[in-house]
Amino acid sequence: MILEGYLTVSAVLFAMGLVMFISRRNSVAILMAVELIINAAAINFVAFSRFVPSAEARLDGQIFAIFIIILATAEAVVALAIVLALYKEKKHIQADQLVGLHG
Amino acid sequence: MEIAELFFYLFSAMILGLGGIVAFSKNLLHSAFALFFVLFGIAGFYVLLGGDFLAMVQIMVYAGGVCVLLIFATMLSNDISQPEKSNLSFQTVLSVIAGGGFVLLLLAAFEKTTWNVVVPGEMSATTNTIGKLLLNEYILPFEVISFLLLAAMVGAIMLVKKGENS
Amino acid sequence: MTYIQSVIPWVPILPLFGAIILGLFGKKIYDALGENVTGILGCLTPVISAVLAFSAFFKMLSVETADRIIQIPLAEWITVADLQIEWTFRYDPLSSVMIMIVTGIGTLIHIYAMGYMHKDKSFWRFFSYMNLFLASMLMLVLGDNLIMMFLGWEGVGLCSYLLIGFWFSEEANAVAGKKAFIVNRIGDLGFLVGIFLMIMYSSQLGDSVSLSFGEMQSQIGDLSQMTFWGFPLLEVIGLCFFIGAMGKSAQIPLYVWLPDAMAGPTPVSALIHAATMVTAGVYMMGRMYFLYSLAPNVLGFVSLIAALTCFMSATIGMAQFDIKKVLAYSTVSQLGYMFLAMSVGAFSAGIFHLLTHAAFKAALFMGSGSIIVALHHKQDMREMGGLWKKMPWTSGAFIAATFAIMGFPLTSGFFSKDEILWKAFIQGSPTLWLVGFIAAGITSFYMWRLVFMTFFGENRSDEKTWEHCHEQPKRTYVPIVILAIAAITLGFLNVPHFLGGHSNFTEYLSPVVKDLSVAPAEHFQNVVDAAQGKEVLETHVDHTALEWTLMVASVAWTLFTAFLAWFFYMKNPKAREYIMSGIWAQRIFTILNNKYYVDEFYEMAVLTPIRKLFQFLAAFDQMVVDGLVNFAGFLGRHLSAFIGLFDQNIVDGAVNGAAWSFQTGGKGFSFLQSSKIQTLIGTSIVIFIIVIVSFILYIG
Repeated sequence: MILEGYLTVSAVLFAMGLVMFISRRNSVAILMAVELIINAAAINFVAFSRFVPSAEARLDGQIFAIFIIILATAEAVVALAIVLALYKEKKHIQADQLVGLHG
Repeated sequence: MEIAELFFYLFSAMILGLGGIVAFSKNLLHSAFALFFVLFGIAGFYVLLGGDFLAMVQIMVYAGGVCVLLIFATMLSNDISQPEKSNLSFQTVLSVIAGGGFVLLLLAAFEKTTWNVVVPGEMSATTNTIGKLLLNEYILPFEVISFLLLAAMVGAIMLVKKGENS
Repeated sequence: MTYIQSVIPWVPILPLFGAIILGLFGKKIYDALGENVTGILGCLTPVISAVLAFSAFFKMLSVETADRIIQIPLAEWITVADLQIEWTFRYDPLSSVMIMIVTGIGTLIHIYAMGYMHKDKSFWRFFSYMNLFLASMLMLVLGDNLIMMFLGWEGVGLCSYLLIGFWFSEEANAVAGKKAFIVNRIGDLGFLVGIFLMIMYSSQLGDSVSLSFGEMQSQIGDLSQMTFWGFPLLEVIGLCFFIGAMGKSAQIPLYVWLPDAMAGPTPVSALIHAATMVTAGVYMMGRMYFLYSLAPNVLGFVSLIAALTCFMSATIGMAQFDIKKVLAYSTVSQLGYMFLAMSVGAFSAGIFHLLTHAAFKAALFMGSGSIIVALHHKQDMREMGGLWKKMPWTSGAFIAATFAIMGFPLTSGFFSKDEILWKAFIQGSPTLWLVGFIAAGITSFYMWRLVFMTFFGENRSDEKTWEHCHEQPKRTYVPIVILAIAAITLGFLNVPHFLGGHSNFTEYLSPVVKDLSVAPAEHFQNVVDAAQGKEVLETHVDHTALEWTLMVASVAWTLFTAFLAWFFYMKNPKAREYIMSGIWAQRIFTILNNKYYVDEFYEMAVLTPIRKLFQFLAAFDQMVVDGLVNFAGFLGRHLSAFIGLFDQNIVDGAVNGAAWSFQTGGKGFSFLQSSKIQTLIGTSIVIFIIVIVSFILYIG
């Protein structure tokens, strides 16, 4: 398909992730939203690498998408560890009540 | 309509539809499983875009690893029984504004921008190319990422351990 | 020349200084140094001015006739567009005569007044006003242009008011002062209109208008061609100035202030209302002879007024009992003579009569003042009598002046009055002569009536007054004697040709005052048709016989009426009482005594409507003004209530609104400080979108 198609899909996915991020209260849900956002960005990278390639038809976008996946994984691991620790501590993970850092 | 086009529409429907379930479902477990299939849909997109290796990595690592982790976390945190309260709070409004605005912005950007679109050539196996790239041009990010993974592992264990001790 | 030029400006200025010093410091001087010093100080400046005036005159006599018009420019005064009025004094034969009269008689009267105002508590104020009057009168006669003359004109009017109402604590005196001033003012309006017309039309002729007499005289030919509203311009201007003269010189209908002016101290009456101020109108006509020569219709009107005034006031004088009132009406009548002379074009004759009248009338007034003081301020002649026994000097001087006024042969009055009557006959009409002739007889009659009632016969006042009556001190009667001598002798200045003289006075005046018989032919070339002026007489026709006839007739007539006075008041009073007991005699007498009810007529016809108008205006003013004020208050109240409401709502609303906006805005912006990551991300995305959009819109 054409480039704009992929970009549109990724944009909508990003928006959905954004909406979910802001409006959900459960911390795990928020982390899922982050996943959606990250994936949307990755689609963008790959689409561009296919349709607007750099010199010598290199697959820069795909390399980057790999890096994105790895980073998202690391991030998910750490975040979920934190969430579980918080859950043990506070017995809930409602984001709007996890305001201990607020001055 | 070509097969490719058909698959494109299929996969986009999958992503967007399931993405909608992820975003707007009241049940967190439904969201988690839908996310699993969204990631599959994205992998399908990667295939269509000629990133076969990438698609595999996506399925194995992302869908199989991260999403499963999320499902575990969901089930461990026991909040699935609590439904999301659906009253129109300030944050819902803000989210709609932000999301809607962002989409519109991006769509406007897409329409206005012209890219030097190259007619895509034949797709070929990319594993070889990616391997070579990783170890030649992108050696530095590669090593850094490794380091990062190590740090993440250690950190996660530390976090969990600390929690257990207290 | 330079002597005159350096001396003459001081003549009016010194009395002015005197007036200012006495006005400012008079009280202190009076309290500190006493009456005599104050009096001497008051007389000082008139004396010096008189010395200067006479010396300038003698200097002038040594000057060639043609050079006798001397202008002394001092400074510029008004310079506006076309109008360039300067402070310039004009010393020529006419003004030399006038300033000698004013300063000479003025000095004598000042000295006399030192005695008359003895022990008056406002002694110093009197002399201040008198000096001011002298300064104004001198300004009037010495001014070279109409504006300076008008300045003096107004000044003498003011001083007349101040001096008539000198004893203003009596209301009647203050009223008389006001009456004088207001009636004068009516005349001044005419004068002003004349000035305005002159400016208006002179400006069409040349570049600048200075209203100086020399300039006006040179322009008179052109001016005589102009018309104003269809009337010849010169006639209109002449009439306007004559209206001024009517007010100042007490002609009909504006004479009514002069008899009332007798409420002032007698020196005032002597100086102002006999010798000087009232002659200002005559002087004006003499000065502007060139204008009047070309305004025959106005001269006709003047002759009518003059003759009427002359006759009417003489008849009133016959029936008055107050000694000063008789003299006042006599003044009005004599002024009528002067204007009669002016109206037939005998300008120098009028000025000559002015001179002689000044002398004998001042003497008469001063004499009457002495009598009044001697009798402790009695003025009614019915309470006098036989005074010559007690006051010989005063009586002698008074009777000498009476001879002058009746025109006894060889007195000054004889020469001047005869000149007027002759000119009236020959240049006017026999009718005019007849009126003057009859009035001369009446004059003689009432003057001798006055003399006989006052000085001769049995005394009719009470014992105590008669006891205390005595001759006044020297400084009082000496000026009277001096003036009486002048009254007798001044006539010889102008002995007419048919009696063997050379008309010296007329000739002396001739550079500046030309009689009508001479003027048109000599002065106005190629403009004036000789027939337009009065009938030009051939000056070489011999009228000697006619002159002798008329002279003898008038002498005989005046002697006859004097005899009548003697008969009815001395010889055979019973005859008088018999005549007066008749109904008609009584009625006539009452009318005359009440001055033909002119004052009452004015009161009814003029003053009452004016008073009603004032009342109406006052009421209107009150209603309108009150109404306006109330309305303004009403408006103010309601408007302010409305504004208050408005103010309350809007202002309070604004304040409250400001507070509300801050609160809400603050609340709205407070989410930026949220602890929730979600909110932060959300707002940052929104802001990001806004920034990008605005970036695109304004730059993209």
